Amino acid sequence: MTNARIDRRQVLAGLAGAAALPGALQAQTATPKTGGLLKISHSTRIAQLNVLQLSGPSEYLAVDMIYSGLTRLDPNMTPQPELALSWTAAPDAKAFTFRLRPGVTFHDGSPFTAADVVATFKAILDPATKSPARSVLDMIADIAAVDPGTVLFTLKVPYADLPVSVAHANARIVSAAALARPLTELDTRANGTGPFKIDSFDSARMLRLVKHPGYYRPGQPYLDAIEMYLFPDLAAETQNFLSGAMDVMLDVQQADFKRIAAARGVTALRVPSGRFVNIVMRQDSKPFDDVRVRNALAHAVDRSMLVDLVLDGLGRPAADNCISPGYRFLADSPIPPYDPPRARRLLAEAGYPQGIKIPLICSNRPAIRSQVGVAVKQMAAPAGFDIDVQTIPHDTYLANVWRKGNFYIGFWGMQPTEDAAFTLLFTTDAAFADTAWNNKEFDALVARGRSSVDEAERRGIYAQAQALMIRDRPSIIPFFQDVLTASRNVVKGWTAHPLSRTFYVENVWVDRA
Amino acid sequence: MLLVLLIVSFTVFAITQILPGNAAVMILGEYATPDQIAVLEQELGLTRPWHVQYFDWLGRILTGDWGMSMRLSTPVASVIGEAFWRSAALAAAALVTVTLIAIPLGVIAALKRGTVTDLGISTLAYLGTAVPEFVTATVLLVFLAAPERGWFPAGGFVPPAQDLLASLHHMVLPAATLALILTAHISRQVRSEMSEVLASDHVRAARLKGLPEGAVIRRHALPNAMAPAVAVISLDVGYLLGGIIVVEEVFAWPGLGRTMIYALQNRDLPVIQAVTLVLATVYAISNLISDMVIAALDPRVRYA
Repeated sequence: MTNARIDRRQVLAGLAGAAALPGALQAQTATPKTGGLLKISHSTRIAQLNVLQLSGPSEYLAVDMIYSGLTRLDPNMTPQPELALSWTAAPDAKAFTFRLRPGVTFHDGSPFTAADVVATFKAILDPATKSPARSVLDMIADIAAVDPGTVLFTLKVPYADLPVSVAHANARIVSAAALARPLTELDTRANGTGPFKIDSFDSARMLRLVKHPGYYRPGQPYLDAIEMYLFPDLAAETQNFLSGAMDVMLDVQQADFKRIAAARGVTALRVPSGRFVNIVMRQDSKPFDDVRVRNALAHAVDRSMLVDLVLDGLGRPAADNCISPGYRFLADSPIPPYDPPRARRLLAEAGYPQGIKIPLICSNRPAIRSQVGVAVKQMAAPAGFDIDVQTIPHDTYLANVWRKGNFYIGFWGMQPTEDAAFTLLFTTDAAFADTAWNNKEFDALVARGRSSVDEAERRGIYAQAQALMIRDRPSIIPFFQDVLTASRNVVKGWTAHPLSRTFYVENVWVDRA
Repeated sequence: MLLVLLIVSFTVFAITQILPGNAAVMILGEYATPDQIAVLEQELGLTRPWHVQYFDWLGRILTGDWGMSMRLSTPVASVIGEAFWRSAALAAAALVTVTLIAIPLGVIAALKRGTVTDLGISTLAYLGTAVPEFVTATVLLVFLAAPERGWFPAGGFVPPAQDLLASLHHMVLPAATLALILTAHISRQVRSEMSEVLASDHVRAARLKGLPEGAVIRRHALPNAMAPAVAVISLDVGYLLGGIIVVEEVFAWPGLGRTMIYALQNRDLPVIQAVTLVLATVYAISNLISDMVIAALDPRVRYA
């Protein structure tokens, strides 16, 4: 039977919605069968397995199976216990105590203790490790083992979301013994506490994992082995999946989704996410120093049509607010209507009665950037924007345009928290600040939001911050893009997560009756 | 030959220096902070002046040290070692197929010059030369590896030690893609040479001697027509090496071509240099071999 299963938090109607429930319920009620091999295809290479450093989409899947962290995020962005069974925050949110799960062993049989946690976070905070997790954990002043089953984090500033931050994909726990050896050994070898361990690894072709019998969830994982195959060519990957040579296709492209969803014996899954493409309009130079010009462009973009054209309907319109419905504290954000005459008026008020002629730079990777560029060029033309879309190679973009140019297209993944989303791009000291918005009021709100452990208070603070972002429009965020994946119907329990960092493969089983 | 390789390596190095970005930027990607990039550049030795980098690399190559892959942090020798043999198997399969099919096709076309057979072979040959590999590869993939037929696997590689039959099964489509284009090339060449030779005086003389037609073709016409064909085959090795890069990417064949594309995308200089050197060496050697074969076929050609 064919069905396109839609995640329960899916808000849009459409695409086989009626078939959604039976599939999902069936997966939950049937008793899992133990054993079997799962073959997963992916299109980006697993260059390395160093969990503290890696950053590729298929690498995230690999380390989610091999390693575990203190916490892991569920689809609602709530941290769930993994190696930490429970945690408590000091009232000022400046200290957190994590109680560790007892009786956990690494793949080599050695016991997991607080010393491993301390060693891992010390390594992450060391700049020489080059860990992407450092920027989200640099509020940690000190980490100490209270006893072998308890860890105490002391923070430099109040930070309410620490249990979310430690769920970072690059903050999985590595054994203290492995960290005492040269770090490069982690590139090809792994001694984690996750449900699967490495059997063989050939970066050019295949990663094979086998069950870790000492995994801490009794009876799990169900599968005996996992094989991840690399297919750089998408046509070949799709053919292999549809022919049954592969059981799971990790990432499905928008253009292929409907065809795959319609194929026999296959379940295509779309999960709403907060990843977005944004049109950066740098405010420290003309013409975007004037908010009326930025507002004009906001009304010159038909967001619903972009979702249909570029995403093939697999996404949701957005309101230039980087917070999507998947976050905990989304504030009301009305979608700016497509209104070229109004945009033209705004341009004239800002001193551009003849319109604006400007080049828009798009990297060629991923292709969605220039697709958005070309669509926006057409939509914005009646509003007086004469946009010259220039597609350039990704490496040239990174070196010459990104964070330097004044009008280009960015592409960002969803973040686990509001704070992470704001401090990624939009605060003055954001890790990748590229809009020159530099709004002190916004900065102060974000700082207050992260230091409060009171839900209602945080909701209010973050609502003000989002209102500022919508008012000043540091960039155009026209839509949020769904995460797409697919599995064969013999595979039970395969899911996707809005962040694409956790996969819960220990719950997956196969029924090849 | 050594001089050629030296020039090749220097040219490649120079080109990669002109390109924007470097391995540190590519490894850390869009989420990198400038201080992380600085640390990694320092570690990879990318902050040194270009000539220091080049001669350091050259010096180590001469002692047999290929260096480390920047992206994969494994020795280059182990990255390209296995990949080389996988590509070599693919290229060899393609070349053998080509030689077995293209030469007879060319001969038949020449013998039946002006007939429907000749026209058919020529049309196929023109088509084969005109269509680029990535089109041929995708067409073969879509039709012969279609899920509903499942005649061939849609790409992938099985080590021969694991399952020889499956390994060969996976090789058919990529090898066929490479072979199609070369077959077109070479059969055209053999046909035109053969036609010329068949019209020449010494073939007429052989026929007048009363030799049977088969012997005329095998002993007198073919050896003369083959020398230029061998020259074309050896030139086509260059074409084949280019084709491998495309075909391996489409069919997920983990060989040198794929390694090259991945290294280029990641500015992984030691790997780019090593693959280029290997490909250049293969090309140079295949030219040398073809010169020797031509000399053996045609007694008039002698090398001092």
